[in-house]
Amino acid sequence: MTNNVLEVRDLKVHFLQEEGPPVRAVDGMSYSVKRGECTAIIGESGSGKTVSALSILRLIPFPPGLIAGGEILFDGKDILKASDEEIRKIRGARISMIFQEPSAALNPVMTVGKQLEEAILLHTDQTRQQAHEHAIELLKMVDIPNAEERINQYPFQFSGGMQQRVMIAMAMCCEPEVLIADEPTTALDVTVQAQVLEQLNHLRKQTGVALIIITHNLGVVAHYAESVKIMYGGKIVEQGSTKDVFKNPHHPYTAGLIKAVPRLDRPISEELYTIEGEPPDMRFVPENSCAFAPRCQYATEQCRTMRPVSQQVGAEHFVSCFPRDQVAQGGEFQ
Amino acid sequence: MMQKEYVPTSQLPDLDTIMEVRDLKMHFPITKGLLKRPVGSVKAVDGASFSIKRGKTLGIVGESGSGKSTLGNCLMRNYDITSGDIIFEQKNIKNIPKAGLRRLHRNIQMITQDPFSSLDPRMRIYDIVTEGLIIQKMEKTRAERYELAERMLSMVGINPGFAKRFPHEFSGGQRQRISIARALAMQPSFMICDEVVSALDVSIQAQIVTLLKRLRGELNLTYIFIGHDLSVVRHISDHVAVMYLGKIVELTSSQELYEHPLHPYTQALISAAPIPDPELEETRHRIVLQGDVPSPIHPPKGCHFCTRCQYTDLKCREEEPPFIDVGGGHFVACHLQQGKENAVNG
Repeated sequence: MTNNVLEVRDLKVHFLQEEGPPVRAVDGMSYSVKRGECTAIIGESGSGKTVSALSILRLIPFPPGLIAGGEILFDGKDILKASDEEIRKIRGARISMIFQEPSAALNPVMTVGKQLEEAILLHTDQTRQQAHEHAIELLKMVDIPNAEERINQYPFQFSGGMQQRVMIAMAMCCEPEVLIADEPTTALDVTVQAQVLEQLNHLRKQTGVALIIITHNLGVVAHYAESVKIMYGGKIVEQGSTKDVFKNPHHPYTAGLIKAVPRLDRPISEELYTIEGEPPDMRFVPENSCAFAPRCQYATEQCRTMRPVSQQVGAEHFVSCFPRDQVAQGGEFQ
Repeated sequence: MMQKEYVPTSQLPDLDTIMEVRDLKMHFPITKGLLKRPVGSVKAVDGASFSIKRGKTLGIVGESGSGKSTLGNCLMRNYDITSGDIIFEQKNIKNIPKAGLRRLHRNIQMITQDPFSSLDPRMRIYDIVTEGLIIQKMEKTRAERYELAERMLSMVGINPGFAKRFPHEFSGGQRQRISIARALAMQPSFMICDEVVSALDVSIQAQIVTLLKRLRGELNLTYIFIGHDLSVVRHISDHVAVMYLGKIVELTSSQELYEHPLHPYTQALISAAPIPDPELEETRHRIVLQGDVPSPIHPPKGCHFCTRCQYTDLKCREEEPPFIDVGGGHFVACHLQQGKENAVNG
């Protein structure tokens, strides 16, 4: 038995277009998640971070979506080869997910309790009465006051932060081994965001669930995640322990991103670093090149004509970049 | 209502101050039934006072429902304010009629959050950028307008050759640049930026913030920069006002705000905003506020923050704290800080 609860190997997800070649939304992505760890996937919109998470749950609609290759090993078995019956037993029970917009994820015409009970009844053989008590327990676990009364209320009677807690409670109902949180706090206010993240982290420590946080907030990653994967143009360009990646970035995109975020603890006179240009349109990224090359100040002919492969640069620290040594030494990034 | 007021701020007008706001209140009535009987009001902005010097930037930070966008809209006079004074360029604009507003909007322009809904999808970019000129009856020939649009677009970093394109051909960051070009076409002296980078990706946020800073220097603009991300707001602003439930609870220079936050809410806000540095985060203490922001229809009695504050005592629940200067232009509304300086207002 390995230490990894989830292993993704060379995952490729394509979206078919009516005309032209398919869009390679996720284009060869490999990573693993250890039991009970908190890992983060960082990327901008269109970088493929959500699509890669949805494919773990086999939630990519076909057509137009198509998992074009790779393996996702969960507990040693390939999820991509599992039957629909098998995947239904995993999805929501052993691997669950919470989404960005809690108000859109909850059914507005069903009480919160009914929705929780529905999830419990689907995955366990508890009776209705047991499920009801279990639901109350779950709400208490995520610190919802007056859980006995609140359980009979509708989602609109909950604030955004409370709705997200209900989503967490629902995701935790069968004690999953992996919890994927797709931008769990983007729609929430800063102080509520802190509450929800603390809650997630607390549950992780309590139950040993592995947490995959998908976000674009570098601060959240620095505070909660032990390891991090940086996505750009459908690929992981850099991954490693959060400390290594933040302290010693080897990919120009990672390095630029860290310098582009204004920091509260820095004097305001400091100029922000800007990465010129726009994130790539995934329809037009050439297959044999680095997707970041058009925005990269280190780009060489090699970057435009060859695809960089992942190279180890430290303990568990991998980067896909040809001029990586130059980037790591680059004085202006230090 | 129709009379024009020209009230100097003092005997000797302070030409350095471009805008002064005194005890601004914006209450929206809640009506019921066929007769629209008022049954209460949403106190969106409930007493805000500040002043801004020419060429400076005031940041306004707060959570959703704190009234920060309403405040921005009041300064544009998009609403008829409930009470208070807004003195812009030595002139009180709180009561100016509709016709005068058009004139005002040559000087005050606003950029909003969503670059997708703020540009008309059926207009070409140069029409969008110069539409203000037609509204302002600053008639120009088509060629002149086109030329102006090209100049504005290149100023904000959009290829002027794209002036004939439609909004859908641009990305979010580029659209936000077009919104900025449209505001600049009126040659304003004052810009209200309402959550202008919130909808953008991290690498694009930095581009827009840097662009706004450059334009401020080149054109001697004054900004009000509204946002919920304290680190971004602080980065571009000279002073930052922290709003909570319709009130400004703290107002001070950007540097001072991080180094010496005095209001418990500001302290919580700073501690809740994680810093992208894993080693630093290990040692940082986090204040996690309990509960949610109360409803602005029935704000708590006394200090509005008393329901979530860890220092609350009896006085906080009874008496509203005055907004006082505790030294060096650091204003705070908190009973804990009282007695340190003289109250300025209230």
